[in-house]
Amino acid sequence: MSAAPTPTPRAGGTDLMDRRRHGRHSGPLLDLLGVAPAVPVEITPWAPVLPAPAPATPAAGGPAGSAPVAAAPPAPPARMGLRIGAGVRIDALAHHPAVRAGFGGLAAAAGGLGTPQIRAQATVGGNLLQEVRCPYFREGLAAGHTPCLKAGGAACHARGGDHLFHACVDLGPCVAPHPSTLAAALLCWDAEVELDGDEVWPLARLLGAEADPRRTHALPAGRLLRAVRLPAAAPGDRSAYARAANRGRSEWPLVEACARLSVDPDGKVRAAAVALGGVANRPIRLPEVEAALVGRPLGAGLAEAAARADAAARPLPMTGYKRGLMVGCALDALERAAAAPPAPEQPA
Amino acid sequence: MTQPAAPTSAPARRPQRVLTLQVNGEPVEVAAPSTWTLLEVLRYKLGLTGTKQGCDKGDCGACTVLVDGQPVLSCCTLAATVGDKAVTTIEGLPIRVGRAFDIAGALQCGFCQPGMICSAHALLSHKPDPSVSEIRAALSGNLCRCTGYTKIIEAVQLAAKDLGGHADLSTSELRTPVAYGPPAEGFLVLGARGRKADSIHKATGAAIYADDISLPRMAHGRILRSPHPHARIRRIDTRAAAALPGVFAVMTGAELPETFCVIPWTPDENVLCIDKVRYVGDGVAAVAAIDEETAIRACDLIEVDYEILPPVLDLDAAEAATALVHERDWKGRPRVDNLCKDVDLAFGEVEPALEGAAVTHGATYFYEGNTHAAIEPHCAVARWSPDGKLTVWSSTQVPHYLHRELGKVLGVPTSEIRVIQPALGGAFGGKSEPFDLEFCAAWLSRKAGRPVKILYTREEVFYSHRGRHPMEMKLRMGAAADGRLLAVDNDIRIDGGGYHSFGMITSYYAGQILTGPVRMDHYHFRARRFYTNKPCCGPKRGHGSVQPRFAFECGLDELAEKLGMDPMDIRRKNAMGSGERTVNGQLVPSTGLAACLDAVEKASGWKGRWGQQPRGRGLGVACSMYISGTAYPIYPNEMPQSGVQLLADRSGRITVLCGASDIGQGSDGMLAYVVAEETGILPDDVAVHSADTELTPVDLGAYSSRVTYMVGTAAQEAARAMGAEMRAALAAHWEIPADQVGKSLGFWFDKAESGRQMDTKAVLQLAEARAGTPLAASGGYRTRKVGGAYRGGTIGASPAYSTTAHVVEVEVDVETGIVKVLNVWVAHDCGRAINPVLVEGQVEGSVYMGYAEALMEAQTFDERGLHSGPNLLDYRIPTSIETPAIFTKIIETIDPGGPYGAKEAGEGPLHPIIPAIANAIWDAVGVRLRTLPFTPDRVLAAIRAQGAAAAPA
Repeated sequence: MSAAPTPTPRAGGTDLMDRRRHGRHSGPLLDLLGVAPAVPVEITPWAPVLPAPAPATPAAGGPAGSAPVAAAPPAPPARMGLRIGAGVRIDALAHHPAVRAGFGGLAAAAGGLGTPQIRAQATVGGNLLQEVRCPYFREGLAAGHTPCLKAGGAACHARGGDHLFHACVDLGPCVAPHPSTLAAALLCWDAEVELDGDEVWPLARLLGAEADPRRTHALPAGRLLRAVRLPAAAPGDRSAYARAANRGRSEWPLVEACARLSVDPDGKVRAAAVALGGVANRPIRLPEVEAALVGRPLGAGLAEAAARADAAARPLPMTGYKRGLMVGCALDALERAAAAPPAPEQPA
Repeated sequence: MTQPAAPTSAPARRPQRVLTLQVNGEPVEVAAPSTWTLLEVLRYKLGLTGTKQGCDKGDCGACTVLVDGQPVLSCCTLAATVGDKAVTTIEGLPIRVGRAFDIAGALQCGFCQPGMICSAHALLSHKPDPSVSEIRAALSGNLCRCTGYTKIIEAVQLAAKDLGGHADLSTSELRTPVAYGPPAEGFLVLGARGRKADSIHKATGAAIYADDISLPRMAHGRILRSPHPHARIRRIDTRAAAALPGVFAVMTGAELPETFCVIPWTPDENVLCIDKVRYVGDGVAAVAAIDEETAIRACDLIEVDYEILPPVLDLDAAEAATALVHERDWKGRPRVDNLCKDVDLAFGEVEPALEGAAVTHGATYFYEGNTHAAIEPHCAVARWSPDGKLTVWSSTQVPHYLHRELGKVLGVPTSEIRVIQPALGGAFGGKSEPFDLEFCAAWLSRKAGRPVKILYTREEVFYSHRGRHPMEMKLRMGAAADGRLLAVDNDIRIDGGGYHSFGMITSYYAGQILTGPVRMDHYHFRARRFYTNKPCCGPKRGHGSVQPRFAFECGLDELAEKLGMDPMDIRRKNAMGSGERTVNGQLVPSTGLAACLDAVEKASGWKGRWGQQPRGRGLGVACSMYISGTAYPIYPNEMPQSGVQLLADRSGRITVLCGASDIGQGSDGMLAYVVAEETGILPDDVAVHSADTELTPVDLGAYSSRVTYMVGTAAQEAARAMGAEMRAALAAHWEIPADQVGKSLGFWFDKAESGRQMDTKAVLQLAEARAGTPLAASGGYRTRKVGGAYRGGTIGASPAYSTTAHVVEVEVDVETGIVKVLNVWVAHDCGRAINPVLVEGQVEGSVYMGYAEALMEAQTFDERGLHSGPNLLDYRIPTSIETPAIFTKIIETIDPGGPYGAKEAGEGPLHPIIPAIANAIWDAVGVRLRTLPFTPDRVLAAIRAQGAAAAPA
């Protein structure tokens, strides 16, 4: 045996303990949320020091994530965004007044995931960095076989095996859906993530780790995810979340959608952002749907736009059914967003 | 046996850390490894075993405790991170909420309840008057497998009411009598709504389950399992494992070569595989070590040289015999196929009847396998004492069969073995035969000279399985123009997995129980059970008959459609009456089908709603019949199938000794009711000791819905005998005729002289004085001759049958294929409802479990024989959120043979919900689903296919 292995950071531990039980993780742990938390555990107002990022969106978003129309409008400098500590519990995120008021879709996504106990324990950082649910990756007795791609093997076993719950947008090589509900929602705001050492990445760069298909995220070993930064919600912004699942709770959805509509005072959609989870090995944005909404009156043409939600679909043999769910969930989220209360004017 | 030598090398102890915690209001200091969870510290360091481990990874919520008043998963929380926050476990909670759970009948097996009660407590602390949806949401992280959540929700409402919306949860405890409602007319206790005798222990975390047992010097065992579905074992090398410090004993299958099976005719299993492994998860070696982690490491050090064989993974491959799962049968004869059992029975002339039918229906149905998923994982503790006596505590629902097989396999007289069933955390058929862990714990205990505990991981529970068989059913049926059901033919292939288990019985049940309560003139079925290289299937609630019932009741709906009949009417048209014989010769002494159909038709508003709701919403009906016990014991013998002994003591208490397994269904409570009814003592004064082979007379076990009927009959006989002695003593004392002595609850009286009465306790003393011996009585259930006069005619034969009808209302989203069950109305004829609360609990639990099978659950395996998600997250069992509202109506068609007219309630009500949902989906969107479960992908595909078929060419 070599020298003592580097401890693995542990926040809520809900995913890490599961992997340890399955023999997918061992070794020492570094508790991040002890008496003196190693990552922020609060949601605080945050003002961008630099001007808001130009509409050029993160390249790592993949084919579906790089649409120019997808960009959020630059926020007026006086408005405050939110900095969500990586150690914030999901439950706290779901109930935070500023999140509920300005980022309803994110609050709903947080409030619907896992179970009450999981939400009370799991953290924002952990949700973004959790591992895939694929049985070929997780299970102990599967360990006697050639490991899957993510477990250090050469190929994705789900691709040729049981993949009923897997990707419908095949961004390969691993076809397990990205597990983070928050990631899908946060994409709608082009959120950024803050690493230790004050490095800031677009969220999309963190997700999926294209450089190494074995990984579910691109956080380098030894680094810490410290916080998520949300730009300010513009007045008139409205957002919502929808999911299709086999069971109501305690479930990774088959497909989930978050929609955000920015509406001008004249009632027309200035910008739209729609993201889907559960359909690819990272959450995706739907530029075709977004483009179809811009310039239309709020609430108009939602079905027509949502009909394009499966534009990127490239189903595997068993996941064709998710095409319908992509359209259905996108429409559901859009309808809810159109009916949602707008983000309030920020108090001075 | 002599004490073995101490292990040669000192076991490795992991570095410990001293923690100071605040638990239940007291500071405690414990030393534990830094990677230990709060759950481990609570259970294994502090002895607070009320907090349960169900999945050990945050999926089930059984380990929920309160940290600073918030529900927290103790299995995902490192103890070292809790700091000085206040930890409250079930043991430290005020009793008030638990009491409400007890009174509402929310406690069945009780295993999930400590966590559930913690969540409920937290909810009520900040929301004293929650709505039903708030309750459902707050409890959605606590999985319950018994109750269908119905009574749990009622319990939280009751607690809220009890607390007056604002009272302090810590208000002092109040005692509620066991029977708190009014009894049925003419009875002292029977029919009264009541608590279960033992449930307050479950509500307070005091009940002891197998894994709660810890003995001095106890070692922890672990079984090494095959990662391959089919392989020959060339060599097993255990030397490195045996040499690992901290390992006390290692064993392989060769040490226990005797084969076994719960059905004594078909012994095809070894404790651990010797020549071949037959499914992923088949055991190959076992280890006992100082702790679980060491045992796991030792298993990793065992080298098994496998020769990989081609696996047989589905019915087609099994029938084509692409490989042989078993090369020899249990008698050592070479096999040429994978056929485990072939049953072919014909009653009447099916083909001519089908030809003469006005309408016929033929289709192939497929019922996917699924599993019990009791929240308590299987666990056994064995202690082989130096005097050669073996005691096994096991989470079994058949202590007697386990007792027999232990003797056979271990080569020890059964008089040297004692089997004790502690509190059991859910079974549903999944603990109704011996498992490898019981034999391994016993043998390792002998080898190690220490007690040994083996606790399955959740993954092992899924692979040990013994659950619902996948069945493919080619069903044909025909009816006359007036709706009379003329003929039914069912050709069934059953995917049995690697071993026989109850396979012979399953194969018969697949056909034999279908013949009522809907009458048919001609019937033929063939059921072939095949071996495959998958975990072995066995009995799950509604053993063998749930699958054909699904096909049949769906088919009946299609016949009605073709005839233009209301689906209610085709069932009424063919409804059997009490005392009728089925086409296959089974006497049905009582059936309340007509009353059940009337009840659900009325409650659901069927008339005017069925067939008339907008697209996407529909109603469906189905019904079923189920056995109240299988007529004959598994091994032929003339002894009673159930025995009950009563001992009275001078305090006014009666002790009941009975081998029956209370697996959460409440058989202990049933015993208390029956004894109280016949002796006049309060049910609270009955002490039930059950399921201990050294203390209690034999009962065959909790399976085939036999307990109320058979154990109830035995208890009735014993209690009547004691009551007669009491009556005779009092009559002699008062010098009046015995028939002038009356009894009431708590006292006996003179019917002729008003005001003359005697306390029941004094009557017991009087009777003891008169007898001159301790007052005791015994009763038994003796096998009654029933069944058809043909080979197999006694399998599926029962002394009585329950009847059920369901109406289900669904909402189908045509865009996504997601099916929501909105309401379930169920009427169940259980004969006399001895304690209606327990009957409702069984019905609601059955509905829940059937609902889950219809929409979510699937025990499926991939091309490598690996389970598609052997954990409580990926294997989808319903939470409190989506479980539908269940409206239960009890129908009491008094059975002439049952105790007080009682019949079963625990399995029958599961059957109809599945076809009722299918039929409701048809009413909603016009598609017939014939493959289970009805997942969104399947429903959507069916709706799309329908659209494509309807579109112009």
